[in-house]
Amino acid sequence: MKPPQHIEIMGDSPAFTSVMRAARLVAVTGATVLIQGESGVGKELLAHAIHTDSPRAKGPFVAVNCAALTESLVESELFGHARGAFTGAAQERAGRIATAHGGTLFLDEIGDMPLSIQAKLLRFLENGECQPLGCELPKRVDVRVIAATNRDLASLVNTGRFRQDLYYRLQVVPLVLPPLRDRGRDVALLANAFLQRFAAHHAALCPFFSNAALSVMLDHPWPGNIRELRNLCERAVIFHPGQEIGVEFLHAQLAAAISSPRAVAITLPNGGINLDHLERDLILAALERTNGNRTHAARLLDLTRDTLLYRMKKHALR
Amino acid sequence: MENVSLLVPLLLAFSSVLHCLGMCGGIVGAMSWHLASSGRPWGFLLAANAGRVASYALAGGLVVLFGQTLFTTLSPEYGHTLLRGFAGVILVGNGLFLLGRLPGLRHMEAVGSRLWAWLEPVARRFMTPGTMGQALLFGVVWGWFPCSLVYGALLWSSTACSALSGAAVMLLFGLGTLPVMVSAGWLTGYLGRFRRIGAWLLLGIGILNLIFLGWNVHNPHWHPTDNRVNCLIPP
Repeated sequence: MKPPQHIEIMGDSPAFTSVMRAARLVAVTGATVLIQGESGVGKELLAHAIHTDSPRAKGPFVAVNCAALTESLVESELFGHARGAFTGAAQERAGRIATAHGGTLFLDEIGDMPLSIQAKLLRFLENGECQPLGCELPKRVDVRVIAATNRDLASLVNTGRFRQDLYYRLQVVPLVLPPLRDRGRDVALLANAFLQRFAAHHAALCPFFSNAALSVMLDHPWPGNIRELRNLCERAVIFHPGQEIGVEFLHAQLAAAISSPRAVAITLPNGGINLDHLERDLILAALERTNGNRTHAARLLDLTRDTLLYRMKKHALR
Repeated sequence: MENVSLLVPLLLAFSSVLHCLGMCGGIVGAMSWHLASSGRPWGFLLAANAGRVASYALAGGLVVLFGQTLFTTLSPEYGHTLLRGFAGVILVGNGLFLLGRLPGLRHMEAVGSRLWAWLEPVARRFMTPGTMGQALLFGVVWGWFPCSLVYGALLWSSTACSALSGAAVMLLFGLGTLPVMVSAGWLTGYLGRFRRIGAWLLLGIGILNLIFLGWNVHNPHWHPTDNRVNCLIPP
């Protein structure tokens, strides 16, 4: 793989470099890759790096965020449609899969793909054929698929929300990007690179972090991962150009994330919400994140283990 | 101790099933995919794995030559005792690492990263092998892929009583990784159940090893050369 053009996929910690080594090797094959990792760790950039380092580099790189597509749109978006296939389909439209012919299709947030579409995607992965809506004959396409998710697909398979056959089809090459908190010294390396990038971007003098500030950054859990670090560095360049960034600035910026883990932005939708379903989803999410460890899941939800067990029983969760 | 010598590399290999799948599993997956899509026989995959295991064995023999020279130079009389103590510490370290309690052990990967930077272009060239020889060559290079678990096994093999023993330890370790590598994941669920048990066993063997060493040192009938460990093939 060429030296990374994006700071987000720079690093020299063992946890990160071992993933990059494996990525460089698998890039030369056309194998399907599944990139897993928390939100903000740089999954799409790694996918792009694999594409640019593969024999398909001259082909297109087409990224699709599966979580951003509604169930009614996702099929037409991915597979395309013929003219008149449905109300409003005034023109024939090539889907994202066909657009990626000769290149790479990146399916981000694959864990959020509706079950009905998963079956069709599986057929495409198995035989390389894509059938647009309203077309009788499938079209053969040559596309490498790289999928990514921040969810534990194995747990989704166990709870019936992700097809097992699709999971195995995607899991040919599993790559797990580590969260920033597990990358030790990479925090300082990335922070300095971001400061330089934003100083150049904003035509400002480059600030620098004090040693005490770097220690605070090493201990910070970085729930937003590299995205969070990047934003922090941009604010540092804007507010303190050419100056030393001390712990006061960091404490002010990171306070919300450090001290108030309950500050989760949940907005009540206009149409209301089913509180039971929300509770069930949160319990499932906590169990998924803790690999089924109920004690840890209870801690994440600020419940006692007994209360969690009671609520799991209430929602018929095993 | 000879039985333990047989057991340790296999335990190391079986316990590292998830780590292997996370790293080398992807490489095997990509190569299997290439072989399937290009209609090449699966023997290529076996050849690549044979090359990998051969590299482990070679490395095992080399580290013994280095380890023995180091310890017997440090202390001609107590070299074997030092070596046995070192072996115990390594087993405890490996056990803790596999239980997720000693992530710092991954820093050992930096040792091989320079060599890998040199070998990587060759690995990339033969990652999609066209002949059996290329598959074997890929495997030989792949055996030097920086991996903390391989280094853990190498450290254990460095305590062997002869270069051949060291090579045999790493050969066993390599063979122990084959079920996961060749089955490309379908044995993982089964072997994964024994992962933690294997790690605890390594930890236990390491601690027992250190206790016996301490007890031996205080035994009036004990002689320093009694502390030979890891002697699958005596010198």
